[in-house]
Amino acid sequence: MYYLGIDVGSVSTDFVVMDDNLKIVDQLYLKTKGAPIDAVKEGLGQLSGRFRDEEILGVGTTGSGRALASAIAGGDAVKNEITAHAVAAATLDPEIRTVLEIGGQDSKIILLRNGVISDFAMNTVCAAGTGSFLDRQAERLGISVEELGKMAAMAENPVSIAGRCAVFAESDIIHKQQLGCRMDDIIAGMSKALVRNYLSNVAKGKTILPKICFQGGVAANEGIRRAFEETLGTPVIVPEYHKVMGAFGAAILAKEKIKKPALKSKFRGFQTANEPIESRSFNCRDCDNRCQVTVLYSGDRQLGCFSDRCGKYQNNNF
Amino acid sequence: MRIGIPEALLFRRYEPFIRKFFDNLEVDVVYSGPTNGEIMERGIAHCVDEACLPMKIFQGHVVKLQAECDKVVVPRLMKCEFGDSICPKFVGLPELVGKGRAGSKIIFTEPLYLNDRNKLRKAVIKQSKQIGVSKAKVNDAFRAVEEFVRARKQGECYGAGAVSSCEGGGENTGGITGIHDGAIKVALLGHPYNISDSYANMNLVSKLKRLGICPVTGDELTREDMDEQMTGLMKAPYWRFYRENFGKAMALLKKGSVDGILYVSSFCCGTDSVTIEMIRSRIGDFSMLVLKLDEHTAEAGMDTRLEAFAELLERRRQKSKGTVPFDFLKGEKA
Amino acid sequence: MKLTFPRFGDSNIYGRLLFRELGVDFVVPAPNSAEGLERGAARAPEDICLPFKLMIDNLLSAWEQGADTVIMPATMGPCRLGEYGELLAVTMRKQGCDFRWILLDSISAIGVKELVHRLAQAVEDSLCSKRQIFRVLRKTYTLIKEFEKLEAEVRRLSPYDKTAGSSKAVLRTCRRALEQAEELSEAINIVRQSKKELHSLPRDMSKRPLRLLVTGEIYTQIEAFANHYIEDTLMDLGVSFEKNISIGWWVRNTVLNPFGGMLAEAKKNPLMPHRIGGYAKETINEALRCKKEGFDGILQLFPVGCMPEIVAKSVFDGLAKDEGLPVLSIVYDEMGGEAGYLTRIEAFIDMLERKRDMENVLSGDRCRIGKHGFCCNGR
Repeated sequence: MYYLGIDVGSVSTDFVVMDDNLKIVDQLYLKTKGAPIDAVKEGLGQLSGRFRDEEILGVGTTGSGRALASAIAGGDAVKNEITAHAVAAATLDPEIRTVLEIGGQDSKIILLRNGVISDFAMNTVCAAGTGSFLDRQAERLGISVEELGKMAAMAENPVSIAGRCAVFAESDIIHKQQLGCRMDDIIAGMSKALVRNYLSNVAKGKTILPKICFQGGVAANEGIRRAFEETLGTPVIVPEYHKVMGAFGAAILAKEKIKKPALKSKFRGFQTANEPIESRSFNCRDCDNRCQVTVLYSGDRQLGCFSDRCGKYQNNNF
Repeated sequence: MRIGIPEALLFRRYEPFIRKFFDNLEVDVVYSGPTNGEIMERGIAHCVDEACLPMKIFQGHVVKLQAECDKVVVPRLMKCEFGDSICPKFVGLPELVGKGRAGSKIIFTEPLYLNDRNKLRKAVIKQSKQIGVSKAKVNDAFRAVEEFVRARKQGECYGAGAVSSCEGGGENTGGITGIHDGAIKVALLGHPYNISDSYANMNLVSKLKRLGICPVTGDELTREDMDEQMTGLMKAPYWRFYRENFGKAMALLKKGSVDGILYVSSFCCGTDSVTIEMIRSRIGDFSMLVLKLDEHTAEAGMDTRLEAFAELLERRRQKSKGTVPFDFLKGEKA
Repeated sequence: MKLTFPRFGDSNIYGRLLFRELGVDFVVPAPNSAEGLERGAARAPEDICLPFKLMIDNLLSAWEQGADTVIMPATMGPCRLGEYGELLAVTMRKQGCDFRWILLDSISAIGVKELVHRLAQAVEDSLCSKRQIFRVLRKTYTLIKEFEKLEAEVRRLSPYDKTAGSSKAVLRTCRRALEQAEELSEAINIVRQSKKELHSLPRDMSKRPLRLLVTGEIYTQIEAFANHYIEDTLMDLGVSFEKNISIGWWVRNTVLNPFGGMLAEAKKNPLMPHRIGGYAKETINEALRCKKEGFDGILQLFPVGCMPEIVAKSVFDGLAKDEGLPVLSIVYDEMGGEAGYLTRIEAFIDMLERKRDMENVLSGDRCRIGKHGFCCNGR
């Protein structure tokens, strides 16, 4: 018997299938590419060959597209990504007291005490400490993100890069390139800058205690992990499933939700992958709020509806 | 007991008086010294994210002093000499840097009204216990400072020294006098702490001079000159530096003694957002460059802006004289 | 003369009924919207706070509808709010809207005489006698008071609803009805009816929702658009909350009580002993009270760059560290996407719930806790 967790983020859409003993039995890491509906369908399609509908006892969704994913797949637990990441980390190792998470567009720090969130913070406006910044630089330098981490680890004399702002960091990188600095030194410097920026912005004023768990897409980057260890002076753990921790957390939350009162899952089945799902948006003019309402349809059937403040479109032919 | 005094925010402006006051008290005083990279880093790390750069720098000075001293002076400035306010952050300065916590070593938090002699004296005397000197001694020191103020001319007392202090107190470039006529003159406006902190503004004054621009701070203008410019506003502005900068800009403009305005502001400055807009609304197409300082400001970008501004002013001047320096400009016209 | 006023919170309801009853010609600006904000921001000076940008759009929309006079409050230095009038006038003139301005300042700043004089300008077209005018003003104030009481009850009671969202629906229906109401007496009746309706809803009082305090900068708290409808969000998340700063509160403190400022200054507050402009001291006062009364947490709202609230946030940082009082500061600007705010608020509430359940574990109440230390009553 399994639980499905879906994490729809800005960069990737992740799936985790977890068994009753909280063990991950299958995982998927797909690029969202700005089309979350397609990504969710794609994921369900890939999983349909490996599991049967009846085997899925509960579905949890998280990430910025959690509401959408929940409408498509039929979610039982819909939770924000901070809670999901914290739950996943605490389940993995109850001794973890700090979770560093760097995702595509935002980065977070979560402090856990006795397995419960005691404080958290998210990056505010700037994207300098996030994965998008790395992606962009990798693209500009013409290498893959994975290579980026390896190259940073090889560097001998990291150059200093101004890292507090993505735009300025980029111009500084270009500047250093034009001075003739070695590529791996620049990349190592960039990793350092990203870590420094993360610690001084996102983690500002937070007490970072070991064990420290580093997760999210960027955790794959060896250079960044090393930079964290050097700056913090303690080992930083990168869990095996660091890329899909959000989805793992969502699956755990789904299990919690379903198990307690022994509910039946709202899971709509893997055949959803073959449904023609599309969204339509319109501006509701019925009141002063002027909400831009988005309705999700499968054929003619309404699956879900978002952004209507008064809730009057929610239950249409549901 | 060792008392620390942060050399930030309005310290430069009131420097002679502050020094005189504490010299007369004969207590062990430590000044934090000019801003440097370490102070700024510390300030950024300790201050609320949303605060502006000058506040973060001030926090840095305080953090430095907290480590070295028993007490740190963080004044609560309610009203300036003429009864104007400054930004709310000045009124809440002890809270902003002390975060309302006990043990932050902060003293001198009685509200100071510089426009009300008696109130000011009482407030200062109230601090005597925290400073650790007798009331009589504080009173004497206060009177000595008063004498000192009276002995000085207004221009010398308030505002002057911002530019000269960047130069290490050397030659006086503050006034218009002493500058050869050919140089481009730019009104250098903004909060005095942005102008005088040469670390935060990356040696702005030296940069200007290197570009052959003479900064004019308008310090010779009197209070009356500035007040004159406020007529026609619906409500008398209550911020000191709104009055000062707006007044200076208008007065210098009317005199025709400057070629352009350079306004140094810090990113997200609340009062400057109003002041700059009000100046802009009055000057038409007169050249004005606004430089925003924050911890991200890159020196290269600032150089580019200043160079371009200098060039623009030079060309405007040539144009008004009828000689266009480059041929292609003529070509453009035709 | 055609009067208009900026929109904040339910000022459209109160203003409409007030001027209608006075017989003054007026227009109500279009509600705040994303397009409106864009329009306002494009015309606003750099770095100005969010309320200003929204007001520009309000007044543009009023001008398009033929308004020629603006009445608005412009009090409280040394925060920027006090300079709004001047700057708005300049900005609007640039857009070709040459309004006549009636700026309402506090009595302590301009005196009773000047205030009455300015108010008289607003009603110069009215046929009402002085007495009638006062009666109408009093009625308006009654309406404000009654409606705000209703709001406060909904905020407190909505998590106990048997059918989720029924309290919220009562408030919504009431607001719609008020927007259509013909006169003040009718409006007051509508509110009283709604209150009865609210009290008759089926409730489950055995629930134990979180109790939060919402505080911060006044405009952001009053105008739902500026705070991304945080009240709706909180009600949907099943939280009971209090929010005390409102239009009625402002009227009570600034207009009705000329000593309001002095009283506030005199109030003891160890963390912020003096008023620093805006309502930062009030924010801290509220927070201290909330600590005493056993609230679970505080949400502080302010627009980016708000000077007094930055100081308040600094104090909160210290408070959170020393006293363990959880505070979530939400800084709004026009660039922020809804998702980011929502994630933070949800996570904050999750955190508080799990924390509380954990405390229950420590005190022996094990039934609500799952195997790995997390509560299982997740909503």
